[in-house]
Amino acid sequence: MKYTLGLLLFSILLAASIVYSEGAFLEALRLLEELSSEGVDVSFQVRELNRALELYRGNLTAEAGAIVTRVLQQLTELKRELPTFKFWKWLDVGSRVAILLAIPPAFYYFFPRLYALAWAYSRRNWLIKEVKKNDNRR
Amino acid sequence: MIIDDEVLAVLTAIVTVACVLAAALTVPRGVEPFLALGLLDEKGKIGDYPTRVIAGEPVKLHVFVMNHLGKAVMLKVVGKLGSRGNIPTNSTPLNSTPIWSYELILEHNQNATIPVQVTLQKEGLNVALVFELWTLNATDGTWVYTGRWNHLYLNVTKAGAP
Repeated sequence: MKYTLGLLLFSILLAASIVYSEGAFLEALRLLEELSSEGVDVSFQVRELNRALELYRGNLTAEAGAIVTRVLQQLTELKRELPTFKFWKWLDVGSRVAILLAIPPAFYYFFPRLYALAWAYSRRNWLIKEVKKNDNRR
Repeated sequence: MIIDDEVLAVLTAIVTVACVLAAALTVPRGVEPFLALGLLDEKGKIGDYPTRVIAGEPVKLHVFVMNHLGKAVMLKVVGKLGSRGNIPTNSTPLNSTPIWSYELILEHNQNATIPVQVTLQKEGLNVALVFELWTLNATDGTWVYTGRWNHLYLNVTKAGAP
């Protein structure tokens, strides 16, 4: 009777732990999908969850559950930082586009002036000589 | 002016086109989403697939999976047995008990080549070894058939048969 109750309690605990792990795993996966679709680097978390899957396959549920819990914490932290990440990402893209679109007017304005400067610089040793009207020598 | 106005206009036009093109490429665009499943031979290459296997002896193959959905997803490759005319379609999986499965998570643009070893116990002609690709819906935890599958027809013979 004592052993039966012990076995029953163990089974309930084991079932509860697996259910918890599955819930945590699904939550981790949901965050993983959301973060990766936004461009957040989740390579490490993907590797870790694949390692947890290997452990689940080998019936090492406790080790796998520990990895899933750790990854879930990391992903929750990344999710908290997502608005900042998105802000900097779009600022980066916006800056690049603005710089690229500013190049044509800048080119139109500065290129003739820079070319004129270069033209004058390359002829800085030239002498201005007065040529008589009837003199054919250069 | 040293540079002729027309020359400057042409140069500015070239610079403008180049910069607009570069700006268009800089803006992130959505990806063309797809999943890929491929069947490879024992050495992990295309071709040299077995056609005749002995019942009770392992069949060694490889399955290639690629994720190009724009996000990380959990995938499952399921191996089943069918027959000629009894294979999956793009919308319905094969109604048969899985004999092999493998689950993995792939990032966007990541692929994996998985070794497969299955043993067919029953003899038969034109036995279809089917591999289906499923994806996990992380919201409700259900597996969804992607419509991607591969199959290989095998003649399973008794040991010692000619």
